Amino acid sequence: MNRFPAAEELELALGDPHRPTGPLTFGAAMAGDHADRWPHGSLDRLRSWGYPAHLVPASLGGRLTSLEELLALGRVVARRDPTVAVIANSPWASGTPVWLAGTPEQQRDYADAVLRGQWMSLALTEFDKGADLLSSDLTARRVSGGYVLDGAKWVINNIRLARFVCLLVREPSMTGLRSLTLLLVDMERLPAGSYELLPRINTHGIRGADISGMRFLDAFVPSSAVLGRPGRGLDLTIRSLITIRTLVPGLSLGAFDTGLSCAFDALRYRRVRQGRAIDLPRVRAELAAADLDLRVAETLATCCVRILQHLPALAPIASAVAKYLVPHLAEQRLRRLAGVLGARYLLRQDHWYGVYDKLVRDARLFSLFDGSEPVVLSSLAAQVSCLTEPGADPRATDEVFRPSFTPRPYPSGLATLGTATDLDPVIAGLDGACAGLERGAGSARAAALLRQAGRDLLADARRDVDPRSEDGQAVGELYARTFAAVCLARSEPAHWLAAGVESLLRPGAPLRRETAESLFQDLAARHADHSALSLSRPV
Amino acid sequence: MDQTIEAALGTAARLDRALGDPMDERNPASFRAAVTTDREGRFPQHLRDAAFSWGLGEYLTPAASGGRLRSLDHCLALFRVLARRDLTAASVIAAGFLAGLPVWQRGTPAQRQAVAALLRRHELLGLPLGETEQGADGSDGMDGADVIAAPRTDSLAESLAGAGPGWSLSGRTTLVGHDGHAAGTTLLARTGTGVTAFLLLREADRGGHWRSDPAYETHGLRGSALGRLTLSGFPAGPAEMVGPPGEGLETTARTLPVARLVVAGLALGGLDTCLRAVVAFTRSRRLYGAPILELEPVAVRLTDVYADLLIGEAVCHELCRVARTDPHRFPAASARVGDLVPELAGDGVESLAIVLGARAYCSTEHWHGIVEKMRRDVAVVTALSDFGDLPPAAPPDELPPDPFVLVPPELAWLGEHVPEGADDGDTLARVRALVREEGLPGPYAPRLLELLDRLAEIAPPGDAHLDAAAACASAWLRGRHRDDFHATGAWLLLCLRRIAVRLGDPQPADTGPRRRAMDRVELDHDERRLFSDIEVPLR
Repeated sequence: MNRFPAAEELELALGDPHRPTGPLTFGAAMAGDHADRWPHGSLDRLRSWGYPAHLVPASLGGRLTSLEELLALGRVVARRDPTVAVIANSPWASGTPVWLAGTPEQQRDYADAVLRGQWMSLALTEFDKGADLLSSDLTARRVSGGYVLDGAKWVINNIRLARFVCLLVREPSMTGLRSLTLLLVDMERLPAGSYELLPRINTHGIRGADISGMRFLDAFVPSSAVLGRPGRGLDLTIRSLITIRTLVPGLSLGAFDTGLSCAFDALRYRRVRQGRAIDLPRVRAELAAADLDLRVAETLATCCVRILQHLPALAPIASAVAKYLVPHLAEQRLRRLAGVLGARYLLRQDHWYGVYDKLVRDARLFSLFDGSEPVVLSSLAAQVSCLTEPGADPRATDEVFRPSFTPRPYPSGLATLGTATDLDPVIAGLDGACAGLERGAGSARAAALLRQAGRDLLADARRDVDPRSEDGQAVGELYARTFAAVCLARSEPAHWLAAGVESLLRPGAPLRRETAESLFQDLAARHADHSALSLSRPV
Repeated sequence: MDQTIEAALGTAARLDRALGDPMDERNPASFRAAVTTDREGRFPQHLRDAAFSWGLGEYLTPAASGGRLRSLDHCLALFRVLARRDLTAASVIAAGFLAGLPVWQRGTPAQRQAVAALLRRHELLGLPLGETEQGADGSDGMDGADVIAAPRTDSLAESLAGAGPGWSLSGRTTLVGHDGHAAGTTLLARTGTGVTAFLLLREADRGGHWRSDPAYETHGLRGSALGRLTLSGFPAGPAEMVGPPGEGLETTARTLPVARLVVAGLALGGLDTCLRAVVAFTRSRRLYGAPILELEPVAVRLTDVYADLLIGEAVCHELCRVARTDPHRFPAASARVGDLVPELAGDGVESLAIVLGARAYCSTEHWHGIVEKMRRDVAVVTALSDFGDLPPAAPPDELPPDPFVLVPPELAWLGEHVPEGADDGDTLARVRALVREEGLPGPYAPRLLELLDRLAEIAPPGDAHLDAAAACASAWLRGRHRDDFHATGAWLLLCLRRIAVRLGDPQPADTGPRRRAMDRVELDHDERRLFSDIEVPLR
């Protein structure tokens, strides 16, 4: 039984991405990228297929119940064009504060707009403010019946096209952590002349997206626009970002899928000396290592999405791990494969319409937005000390690692999201995961590495570590890799799991020759079979 | 002190000053111009013109042929400062230089005069990049022509029956060169008895035998325009042959060691600009109430990149010195360590981009988005030394005999020949002995000795990192009395610990040397000097 029938249906409906023209083809992706053009054709095609319904919870008239399926849908689109995937998924992502804390009326209005195919924005960032949300300059003064907004937001996706904007504002009458409020601004009701849209910002990747800013000039919004409670905007923003960060990996996986497939195909045809490039041991090892990273990234992304729905209290950790590792692995591997492709990587009109370079550029965005690498590593480092707390029960995560997983319908159950837990049942399962590895043939080294990582992590947990220091970054990374390795070790058994654990815990170390060859053969077989490079793939 | 290196960098500094301030938006040799032309896919003609007007052509012409080129050090330094402005222009000029190498090495006096005349007219040869024709259509490539790791090998011109020594050349290849308007090229042709190198000048075409088709569009180095060259019965005789008939593969293979060095210089130039841009950013950008430069992870990234740059520079200078003093060792040394420098630069640019975050991604932001352009270009510039083979290149013992000592009078531009016995031997052992016997002022001697021993343990025999460590040691031995940074051993400690980390060996923080390095980075930035072990003033 296919776990993601909608994703499979979408893949089939979109057809062959190698067609010379048409929506969601590589040709269209490259043409749009070259011209910095909004991908009208591809987005229209998704709308006609019914994509917007998958962005709206079923309880509000949509078809979204499982975030794991949304992850798969985003991945299917990102395989063809990450730009389209970013835009197409943005109404869901922008609406996370609405799904989590909106009033029934706000949720209904927002959901209806999404179902009609309207665009939305989540406006958090400001020029020169970065991750420091508390220093926001955009203020909302309380007046009778509402707020008056002044200030600007910057680098916001879709804001010039948006019907609703989830806007983070600072209330000058309040201070500290309670000074921020999230508003749901209906752009159709905002008085003309009370705002201006800033020029579009050109970017190196995702070039078709409409990214810009917005300045508010004494703009009035009613009190009914408040999302959640006034002064609790930071908390709601963090909870929203946890959700978004967990789903971003789907887009990285899509770019990674196509990048690996494209590189494999190019190297299959490339001649060097008197043979094929793909017959060189180094090339096979590189492709095998990339495939292993893809499997690791996919497994981790799946586990973390399941944790979000099954154990939302653990989602602050899981989302940071996924947001750091999956885009990181994809970006690093795509870059390495570019080196293997050599001169071919230069060509824009060559293999697969030259889409490889676009994938590399687009994929870079995923490690940047909604929490850059240093930010998420710091957040993990800040949580490490909790690992010394007794009482975490690894059985709490058993459901997450079962082959079949049926979540509660999204977004129910997410009320506890963001309530920091001191217990990490994933890391608590490290010993069991090691024992499981030790029972498998050829997995002793992986088990030993994982045990050592657990000891190192516990030692770090007992130290006083500044999360923003270099030491903190290293501790955050160790936490992420150990967490991911346990997820892998506890997942459905597969011949590559031990190698995956080793690659997570010894990044950059070469694969053993027999492992590399085995992975390569598997990759080649799937490529020859025209099956997607994915475990939970839609065909 | 190595006077040749210092003289070369002095010449490069004069070129840089002549090109004007790269931050001046009105300057056609500015960063803004580089990004603008790149985005529009135009070749930065203005930069090329400015460089040639200054006299670059003279420095690309060996002294024996009337030019001012006396050492590879000059090539390295000049391409490095050109690349810091715009890798596109620098790469095309470098490609033209590499295309001329077979002529300087094995050409006739008439051929040398012809190429020198081209350079005096500010014209360039195109560098054949053979492999692009095959694979794109899924064919198996051209029989036999792709048998060697050189860019010209499958550039293919079939010999025709000709009376006596005359040939008629037909075939198709891809040229790295400005807009397909290369003034000529050196390519290989199958001449029945083997493969022969030819110098073909476009001006010699009398009957439409030379056709330039529309250029390929490329991703990185967008404006460099790979041009497609089609030869249809181009006449060629002994006057066009470069080297003996049937020895074309040997002739072109001899350019490979130089190509690696040139590519390394280009990569160092690109990294210099990225580091400069990011240092400026980290001092002006504030987060949590302070410049982000004061965040430890940021400072660590910057000093790590600075160390990588110093290592890369030391490697390049050592290669130049080997070419001058012990030319027989040059090809093998270049093969072992040449590819490490672009790798260091690529990793460095990636790390810096994380510091810039969204700024790097916006093509109109900090320093006009030059970092992202450099990031893309550095990743693909290695294609210039990608001769259709994949790394690792041929083992040193398979390389042809060194080209630079065969005919010394003609190759005087490679510099003075130092008598045998000038080899440094085991430089790392010399440093170890020196530190043990003489000690060092300050606290770093024990740590340095420990690190030297550790490197010997962890580096696999023949690993490029060992060569890099030896190059750093060699540079330090020559410059250790220069200032306190060197005299205390902090400079060498900074480089060697970085090499150890790159070998996967965790190292202590070594905050002292890092702090000194950060001071040096800021000083070089403020004083507008090249990030280098040698003081090189820039504009």
